[in-house]
This record gives sequence, C-alpha cells and structure tokens, in this order.
Amino acid sequence: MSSGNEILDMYIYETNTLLEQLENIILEAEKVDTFSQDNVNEIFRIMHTIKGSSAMMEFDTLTTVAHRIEDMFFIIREKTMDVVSEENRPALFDVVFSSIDYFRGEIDKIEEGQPLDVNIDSFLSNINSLIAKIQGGGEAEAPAAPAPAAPTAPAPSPAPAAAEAPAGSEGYPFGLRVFFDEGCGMENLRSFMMVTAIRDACGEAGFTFEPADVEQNAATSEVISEQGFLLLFQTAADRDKAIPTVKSSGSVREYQAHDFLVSAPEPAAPAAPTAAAPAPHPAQATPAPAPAAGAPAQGPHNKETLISVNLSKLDTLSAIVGEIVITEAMVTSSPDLKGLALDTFSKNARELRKLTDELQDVSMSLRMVPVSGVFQKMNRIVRDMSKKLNRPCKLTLVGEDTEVDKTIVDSIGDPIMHIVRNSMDHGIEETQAERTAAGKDPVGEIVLSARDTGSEVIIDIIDDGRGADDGAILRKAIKQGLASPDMDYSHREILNFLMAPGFSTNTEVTEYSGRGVGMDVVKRNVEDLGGNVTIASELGHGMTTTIRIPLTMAIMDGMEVSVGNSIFTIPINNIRSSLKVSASDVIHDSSRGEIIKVQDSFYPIIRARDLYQLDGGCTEIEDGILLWLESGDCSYCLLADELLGEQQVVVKQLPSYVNSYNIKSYGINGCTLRSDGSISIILDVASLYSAARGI
Amino acid sequence: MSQEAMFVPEDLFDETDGSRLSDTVDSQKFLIFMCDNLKLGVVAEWVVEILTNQVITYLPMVPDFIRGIINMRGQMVPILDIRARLGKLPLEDSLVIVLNIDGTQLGILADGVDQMTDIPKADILPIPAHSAQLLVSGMCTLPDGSGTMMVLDCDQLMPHD
Repeated sequence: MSSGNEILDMYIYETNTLLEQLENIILEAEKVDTFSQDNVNEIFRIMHTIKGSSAMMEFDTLTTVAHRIEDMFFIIREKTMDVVSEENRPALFDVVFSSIDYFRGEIDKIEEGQPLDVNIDSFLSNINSLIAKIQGGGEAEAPAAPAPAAPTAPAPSPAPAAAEAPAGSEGYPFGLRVFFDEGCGMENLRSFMMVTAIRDACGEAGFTFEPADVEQNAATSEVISEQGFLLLFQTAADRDKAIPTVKSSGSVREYQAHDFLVSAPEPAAPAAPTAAAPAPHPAQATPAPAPAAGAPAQGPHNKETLISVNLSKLDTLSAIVGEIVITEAMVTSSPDLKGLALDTFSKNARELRKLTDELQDVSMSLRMVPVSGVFQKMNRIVRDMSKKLNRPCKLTLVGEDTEVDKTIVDSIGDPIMHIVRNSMDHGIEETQAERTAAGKDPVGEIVLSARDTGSEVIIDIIDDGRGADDGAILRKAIKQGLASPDMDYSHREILNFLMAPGFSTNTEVTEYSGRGVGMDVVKRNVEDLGGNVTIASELGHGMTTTIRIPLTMAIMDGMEVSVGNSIFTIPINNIRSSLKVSASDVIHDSSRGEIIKVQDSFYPIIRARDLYQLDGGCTEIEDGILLWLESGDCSYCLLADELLGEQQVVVKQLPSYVNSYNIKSYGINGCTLRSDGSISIILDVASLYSAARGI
Repeated sequence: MSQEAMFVPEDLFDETDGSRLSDTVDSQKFLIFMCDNLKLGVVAEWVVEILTNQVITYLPMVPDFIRGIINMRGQMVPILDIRARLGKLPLEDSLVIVLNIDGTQLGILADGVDQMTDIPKADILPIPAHSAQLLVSGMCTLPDGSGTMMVLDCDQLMPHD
C-alpha cells in the first residue's frame, strides 16, 4: 500500500469518527434544544479538524463547508447559545444535520474514487443565511468577526509569535524536540497530526509548539526537518504523558527532552497553571472544561488507546491462531509419543497449551466491538422519521456496550434499521390523540436493547405502538397467497407471516419502509449470520422483535459425537441434554416414526445413521445415546453412537464445490479440524430437523 | 498420522514457462496419471500438489463420486473419485492430485502418476464421436510411444446445476 493511500484511509477513518461524534452531540443537544458551551467547543474542534485535514487532502469544497460551519460556531462560542433565538434553533440543528449528511456523502465519494460535488453554493448560502440570522438576532457585532478570526483563533493554543526565539519561556519550560525520519516528507502535517494526537491524549491545556503555523504553512517542513519540531509543556508530567503519543506517531526518528529553565518562572508555572494561562492562551479557558463533560469527552479519551487495524489482518490472525491451536494439539498428542516418559516435555506442553489458549482468547477478543455504533445510528433514523411523520418518538438504548464479532456488527446494522423503521412506520400510532386514547404516553418509545448470554447476543427492538393485528395480517396473508382461508392459524403462526417472503402490511410504499424489501430479507440476513428472528406482539401493546445471533461465527463450543466412522460436531447451545433410553421407552407412530417422552413432552427421534445413510453406527437404541436438541421452534432427539466430548472448535466453511450439492439443507453446515487433524462435520440443528421431516 | 506431500518440482514448471515462451501456442505440459489402466492427462498448470496417504473424511448427502473432503494444511479440499465417475470399483491405495481449476480447488484420486510431458497442441485429437468414454475431451499418442493419453475434461468435473 502506498503511503498516499494510507493517509487517505486515515483521513476517511478520522473524519467518519468525527462525524459520528458530531452527530451524537447534535442529537443529544436537540433533545434539550440548546448547545452547552462544552458542546459548542467540541463541535468547533471537530469542524476545525475536518477543515484542517480536508485542506491537507486538498478537498476544497469540504474545507469551505467546514470553514463556514466553524465560523458559525465561532459566533455561538463567543456569544453563547443565547445568540440563537428560539425560532432559529431548529434551522441550526437542521443545517448541522444536513452538513453531516453532506460530509458523509462526499466521504463516500472519496472512498469510491468519484469526483466531489463542486456545486456547494446553495448549501453554503443556507449556512450563510443562518449565520446572518444569528448575527442579526444577536447584537450588531462587527460583521467582519468570523472571517478574519477563523485562521488564527481555530488553533486552540495559538502560540504567540513572540515566543519563538526564547524557546521555553512564558511558562512552558519543558521542551520535547522531535525529529522525523529523513525524507519522510510533509513534516509540517505530521507535526500537526502529532499535536492533535497529544491534545487528545493530554487535554487542551498545558502545551504549545513551534513552529506554530505548521498547519497552514508548508514551508515549515524544512525547518522541522532541520531543527526538529519543538513541543513545549508547562509541566514535566504533561511531557511524560505526551511521550507515548510521540513514540507511537509515524516516522518519528528520535525525540529529545530539553528543560529550558533559564529564568525562574518555574515555581509559578506548575503551582498556578491557570493563572499563567490566560495570557498566552486566549482560547484555553473555554476548552479546558471539555474533558470534564460526560459522554462527548469519552471519544478523545478512548482514542488514545485505540488503533485502527485492517480487518483482513485480523482475519488472517484468527485463522493462523486457529491453526496453531490445532497444530499444538497435534504435536502434544502425537501417537509417536505414546508410552514415552517425557516429564519435561509434558510440563512444557502443558505450558504451551495454556499459552495457546490465551492467544486464542486474545485473538478472538480483538474482533469484538461494541454494538453501540450500530445502535447510535438508529438515533438519527428515529429523529428524522419522527419529524417527517410527525410522530414524536424517543429511542432508548440499553446495553450498547455489549460486544460482538466485527463481521456481525457490520451485518446487523441493516436488519436493525429495517425493524426500527418498521416500528416507526407501522408500529407507533399515527396521531398523539390515538396514543392518549389508548392510555399511553403521547410520545412513542422504541427500546433497542442488547445483552450477552455468553454464547449468543440477544437484541430486542421493542416499540410501544399499535401491535400486530392478527386479523389484518391473516387477511393480507390470504390475499398474498401465503395462507389458506380454510385453515386455523395460531397467533404465533400469524406473526410468522410477517417474515414470509412477499408480505408487506402497508398497502402503499412509503419513503422509509415498504420498498419491496420486507422482513423476510431481515430474517434471511440474520440467518446467514447463524442467528434467528422472532416476533412477539399483542394488539394495542406494541411489538417486540428479537434477534439472536452467535457471539462469533469463527469459534463455537461444540459436542463431538460419533456415528459409525463419522464424527459430527453439534453446537453446545442447541443441546438441552443427552439421555440413554431403552427400546421400551420408544413410542412408534403409524408412519414408522419414533417418539420419545422427555420431561412430560413428546419429541420425535431422528437417527443420524438413517438420515445420512451411513454404513456404520448402532441400530439398537440402547446402544446409542439420544441428544435432545433444540433450535428456535424445533425440538427433537438425535440418535448417535457415542459422545466424544466437548470441544471449542474453529468453524470452517465446506468447499463451495460440495456446498453446491445443497448439503446445507440437510444440516451439514460446515466442518472443523479435530485435534488429530481429522475432520468433523458441524451440524445445523434446525435444518437437520427440516431435512428429516421432509423425508 | 503419516502424511507425505510430494510437491511437483518447481523446475518442471520453469521449463514449461521457458518452452511456452518460445512457442506459446504450440505445446502444453501435461501431468499424466493412471486410472484403471487408462492414461489420463491434466494440464500441469492446474496441478497444485500430489498427496499420498490422505485420510478422506466421508461427507454424507453428496453424490457417490465425491469421496469426501481432506484437510490440506487447513484448507478443505473435496475429493472426486474418477474411478467411481467412470463406473469402476474403487482402489484402496490411491493418491490425491490436488487441482486448482479457475480458483476451485479439488482433488482427484489416481492410481499412480506416470509422467510429465510436453504435448504439441495440434497432436491432441477429438475423441471419436461414437465413443462413450466419459470425462475425456481429447486424446493423443504420447511422443515417447508409451501409449495414448486421454485428456481429462475438467469442465465435466465441475458441478453444474
């Protein structure tokens, strides 16, 4: 990968992260209909960073837009939120939202290598007219204020030009001179990025740097490459905090600490940093409290310890770790070692096993990310739709920090979004009067909750809307040819029609849902992840859609069972219990099926040997063992020869060549390598059942 | 588990490249293997490796000629039994030739490997129209006079549905 691409990737990643932060701030702020001073500072900082990095990447239109928004928030920052009159506030929120969308759209284009939108005039004039309104609303401030202020004020710690020569004076005695790799290029921008990183790590206050104009002035590159980039800190502790950041910055050749203790301002500086601050830092007083604020401040704090890694590298890592675990087992349980007394070997082998287990856990945890990213996107959807449809509704998030595999997080976004849209569109009552009449809070509520059961993640999307009308659904299902008019259907069966292909309860297509893509697609997407979707609803009491997905698709706890010469692995979470029964316990039905009674209920018996037409394997039920399996709606007992033990297995896909023979519909879902290098076949409990019933 | 991998020697391929540079269109390198007294040939470029003593894991619910899958250094490779496909009885002791045909990896069972040889393309003749021979797309007399090679029609091995 060329370095140019890396910078672009980083730009895209950073900007997207910033936009996400921004969106969250605005969503929070809109609820209280005002921006706190902290928020304004944070927005200002975000826009400033986007402006700076866009300028660096020469995306001029993005720079211009970011600049104008920055100007706008500059005014708000100077004069506080009071400057925006009540009637202008919705417009302000809308402008910020539309600018987030604008940036996202443009970033998408950049990612796809498409040319950027050059015509931003109408968008700019929107912002400008709002700025004019805000300024008109406030007292007649010098109209020139935003424009000239922007270039200088934005740098949150504009080092006074006078500080250049006697480095380290003015209360910043602790210097750190950083040298970049020779010929690495763009030293000024690297420096600026380092400054941003340090600022995130150490907070706004406490340091300055020179040359001070690294961001705008490309000529500083040469100075930096010759003399190094000088960072100046108020206290030695701040400097120590910054050193890890400097170390981790790219292309840093070396750094040296210098203490500029020329005169004697030192005792004053550490003792009263706030007193010393106002003079060189006009902007400092306001940004300083930002870290104290709750949610918005977490972003910059977390960032310090996070790095972004290409997902394909993680995939390779987990694949290799999986192989290591298996190879380790192959080595230590090698038949060549049988009968040998190898004390040291066994001891070391045990140590190796412990370490490989740890390695596996760590490599798995690397892929786990919180669902909060997906959940928070729903805030915006609920906000936009409740405005558009004029149905006030709030979204409550529960358990956003639940972690799941990255690939799963990426693929559950769309299904969840679809369900949330459905809830808004079809669930929440059309008018507040309707809700009040039903004795509900006029403001609708959608709860999005995630919880982790250890083996799977359960995501509930709960709305308190109208709920499902069985009659209407059934009529519709009959009309669509999904149900037969002469049959009686249970409540549960009727709800399942909602997820049948070709079903859509809304007769007309709306902007948000009913685009021909229905719940059947949601169901299929979730099932592709190895999960399932269920709907529960009662007329008038809202609807709960539950998505269950495995924590990770790559690793699974399985029970190995043997049938004849074949070995199968069954997911542990599908197994309710195993039982030994005698032939007399088995009840035969008229169609030669076998049934067994377990805990006051009857379950069909499926013989793996017969289903898969295997040569070996026991034929007498006493010789084998019954596994009581359950998945979703189906529950049955599978007859196998023997239980071989519980294993954590690395799931591998079967070659597409054999998958083309449709073996997945027989429950043959994948395979895994056993500790001796042989292959075990992973069974899917649900499709095995439907295959057996079909025979 | 005794497992022995016999890589197709690199220099054979190099030689192929060299000769193909001089007369690209005219000849092609074939790996010739035995299968029930037939000499079958596959384009050498497709051959990934030749494995012996492989444990093949039986896979239910697939056609008979798919003997199962093997674990080739962590990769799952399906194994096709050419003998079964040709209606012959299986052989106990056979080796696996792993092929990569346009990105699809599959192994075929062979009785033994015969030789690797250059065949001028013009020498490969179509099989007689009335021949009922399956899985063969062409045939040619071997340059060393040791017999006739049948060109394995790998396209027929791929699943069609």
